[in-house]
Amino acid sequence: MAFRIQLDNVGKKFDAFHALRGFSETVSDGDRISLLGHNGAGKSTLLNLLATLSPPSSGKISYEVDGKAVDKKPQIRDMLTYLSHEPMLYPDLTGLENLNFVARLHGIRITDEELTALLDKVGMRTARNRLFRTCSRGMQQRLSIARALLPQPQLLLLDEPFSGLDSEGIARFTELFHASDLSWLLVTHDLELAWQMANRFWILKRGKLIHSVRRDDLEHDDYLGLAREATMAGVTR
Amino acid sequence: MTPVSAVFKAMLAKDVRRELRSKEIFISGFLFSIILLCAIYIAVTAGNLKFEKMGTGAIWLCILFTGTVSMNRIHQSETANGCYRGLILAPVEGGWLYLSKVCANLLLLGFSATLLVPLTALFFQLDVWANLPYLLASLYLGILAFVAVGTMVVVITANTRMKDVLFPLVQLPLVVPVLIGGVNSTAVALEGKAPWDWLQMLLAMNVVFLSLGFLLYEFLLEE
Repeated sequence: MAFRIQLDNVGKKFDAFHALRGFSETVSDGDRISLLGHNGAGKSTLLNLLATLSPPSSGKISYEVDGKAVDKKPQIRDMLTYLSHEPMLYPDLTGLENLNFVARLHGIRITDEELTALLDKVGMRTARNRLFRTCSRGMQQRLSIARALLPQPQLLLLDEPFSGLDSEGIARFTELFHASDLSWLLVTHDLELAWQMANRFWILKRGKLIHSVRRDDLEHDDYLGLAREATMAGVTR
Repeated sequence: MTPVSAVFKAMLAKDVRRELRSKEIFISGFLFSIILLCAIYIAVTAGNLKFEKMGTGAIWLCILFTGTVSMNRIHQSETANGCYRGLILAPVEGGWLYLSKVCANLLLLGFSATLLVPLTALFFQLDVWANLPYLLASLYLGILAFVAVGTMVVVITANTRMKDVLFPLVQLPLVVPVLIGGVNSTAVALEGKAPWDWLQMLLAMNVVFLSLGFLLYEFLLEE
């Protein structure tokens, strides 16, 4: 299934504070976008808007699957998952029980063997029956990645998805994501990771999109220059 | 989209499993009820009041306070680790999420209330067996309305700085009609009569609160 998300002049205001202003872009199948910017640039706000967690204050976001408009929230949420530094898993359930709950909530029929195979992919097979609250921060993040991959979404919204992971973990998931046919929108402050993971870059500064470039059109040094300029802008407005 | 029955089953199974493992709702709610019953018993004894007249009030005071404590606990465990966001992001209409959450909360609070009835009967010399079906109908319809309101209020106050204080402050005035209906219905049932009028009032309140919750939940969940 092919998807397309069109953002037309999207803005988000919190009281008098403009978190995002006049954002117009398109996300479609095959896009692997790194979203860069300083703290408070509006990156997480944009992910929340795309995930339908909060409505835009101005402008419009339209979703399409296979050329047909999708406007019901459950259908929109069916095509994407959100992975952030919050694991969204229950402390008093084991990894396996948590994933079982997520599968049932998404209407997915899945056996324990299939879930164990997924846990194997994220390096959590042996800890599958451990209570989530007894897992280390890195292990919790691995389970959270399994949670995000379980519904087989078309678009992953990733907000610092590898926080708490060791270098082996980051390498494993970078490889795993690249080997998949997933599209994603990645928010990270790690400029090298952002370069490795993306075929497009959106750079935000003070709530405005200042650069939207394809990786093919950019040398690594030019990319670093653009990214550093935006990330060092600071949050004072 | 996920079938509604699957959402209900998943939510009930998850909440029951968590409660069996942590027992936090039972411990915080039921033990608080026992302490409250003891306090009321001592006050009644000291004031030379009639035990059987105080029983209904004691049951509902326990439901009110332990319900508030338990709802707060349930919500705290749901918001830990951003779990609530995980629920919101499921491909399910907000209204069905609300009703499944109400069912799970009713099950957890209803269990504590069921244990409370024989205890109150013992403390306040009540004959609960004479009109048990009406007594249980009064209690469960009241608890359902309490939970229907609480499940909404908990989300409204979730993003505020003083949510632990705000929750009872918003919840308690809203459940005053439930309390009036519940107390009167329970009192009539304990007298051995059928409290049809009060049960109808509780039923109507449930229809109103559950419909409101079903329609508004999606809107309330938005950040």
